[in-house]
Amino acid sequence: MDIGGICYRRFLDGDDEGIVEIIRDYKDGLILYLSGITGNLLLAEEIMEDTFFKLVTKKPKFSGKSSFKTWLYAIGRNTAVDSLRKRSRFADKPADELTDLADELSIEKEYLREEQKIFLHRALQKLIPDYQQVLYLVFFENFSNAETAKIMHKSRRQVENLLYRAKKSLKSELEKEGFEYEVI
Amino acid sequence: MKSYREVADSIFERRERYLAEKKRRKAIIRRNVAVGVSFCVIVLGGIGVWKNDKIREAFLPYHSEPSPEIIIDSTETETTVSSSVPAPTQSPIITTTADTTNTKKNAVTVTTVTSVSTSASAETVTDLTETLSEITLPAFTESSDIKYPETVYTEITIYTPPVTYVTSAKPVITTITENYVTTVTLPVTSGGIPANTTASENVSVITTTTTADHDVPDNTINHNTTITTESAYENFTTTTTTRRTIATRPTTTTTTRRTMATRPTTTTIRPIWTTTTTSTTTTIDTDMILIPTTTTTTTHSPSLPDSVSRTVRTTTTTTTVIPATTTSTTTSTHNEAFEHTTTESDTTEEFTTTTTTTTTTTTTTTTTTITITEIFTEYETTTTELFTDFPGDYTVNRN
Repeated sequence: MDIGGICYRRFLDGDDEGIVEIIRDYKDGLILYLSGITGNLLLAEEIMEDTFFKLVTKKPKFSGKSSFKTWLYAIGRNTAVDSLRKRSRFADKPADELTDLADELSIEKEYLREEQKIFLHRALQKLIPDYQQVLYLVFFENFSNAETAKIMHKSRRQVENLLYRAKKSLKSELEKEGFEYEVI
Repeated sequence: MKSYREVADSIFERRERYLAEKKRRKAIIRRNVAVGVSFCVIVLGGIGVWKNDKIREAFLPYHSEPSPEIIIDSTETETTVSSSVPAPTQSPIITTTADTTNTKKNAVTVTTVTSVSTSASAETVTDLTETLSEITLPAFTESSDIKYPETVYTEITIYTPPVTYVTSAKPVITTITENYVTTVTLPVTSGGIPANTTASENVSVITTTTTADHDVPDNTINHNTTITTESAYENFTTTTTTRRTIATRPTTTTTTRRTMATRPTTTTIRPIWTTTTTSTTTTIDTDMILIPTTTTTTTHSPSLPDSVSRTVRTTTTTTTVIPATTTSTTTSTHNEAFEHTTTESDTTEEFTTTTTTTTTTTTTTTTTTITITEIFTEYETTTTELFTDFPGDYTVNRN
């Protein structure tokens, strides 16, 4: 069991600090991943809170068949999908969204750190959500194809195809912006 | 962007609110369930008590009669005798329970025959083969004094308890014959009967039952029969309901009205006299005399160049004659009478005479004759020098 799983076990045993450590370790990555689904950083942050709220109140069982991070991201994705379905009737963007840019920059700087990764992440946002998710999970979060497939509720073969098309799309996007790359 | 600590605090705060709300809902559900279950238990208990006649006997006056049960008990005695001397026979214990209602001379015969084995020594013999026997009499129906039907049921059940014989003795044959005639007066309380029914309230139901005992053995203690009026009362209630249904049968009256105003009317208007119209129209022949008086005379030598002087005379005269006056006079006189005929027989014919005089306005149009005369003045140019220089022989005709 990885560190996240151990912390979650501590939380289930009554130690609230366990969930605090989980939030500290996985909050930013989860927000960036969810922003690929929602297309809105504030909404992603809200869904991130909902995800941890689910952990705290429902206390779902973590069996340890996958890594804790995979399990957590899968919960986050489900929460995001549910939330988007509920919010689909409210299509108007909130006024607070105007502050997204600064926040996104800061979280990118905090989490991604490398300038090249930040540039790539911004290029990812121009792709369709599925491409964004698969590229983010594989290249930013270093998930394996199997783990990515588990998070995205797809088969491994589907993820591989998706990854291939996403890379082609990203390459095309980077070429438009004059980015010189070696290997994606 | 919130820090992880702020996010955690926010989540814990939400969790506290969520748990408090959950606790509150659970308490509400528990309280409602407790109230509902208590109510159901009370209702079921009430129904059970009511079914057991405990409350009904207390509230209904017709149940102030003695208990309908007939219990005949005999004292139970155990006697031990020697085998040589037969002991006196122990009377059988007879318990009789009868629910009787409005029985009219219904004879009930109960016969108990018990066989007992005889032995030489004194011993106790218990016969368990006939521990209980039940006799159910058939129900019958009779009519009461009031006209609507009343059904009375009578059911008598007699139980024979186990008989214990202590001695060897010849069995005793006991025969009980009872006739029941009981008089019961039932005040009728019929509520809700409509005013237009013929029944009057407080009609009494009188049922007479008399009891006479015949040939009851001396060793039998007989408690008199009790009449249960419950069935009569219930059936009377049923009868009342039936009468009420008949009395309140709705009367349906269908009235069809024919309204004269809505009767369709066909009217035919036929003119008797046709219109006489006198019309005078004066029209002047409008054939226009158009004289194309354009006369153009051009005389020059066709070979002359443009620079050679020539005389061109053009006369154009256009005369248009339009008829001077057009007079139209129309006089119309309408003298009409109309006959109105309708299909209804009760409609009078109506005649209307209308006289209309119409005079058409006379219009006078004056046409002016316009004569346009265009005269081109004659002009002449001397082209002597040109003629001189021009080779050849040319003649110029000047008009």
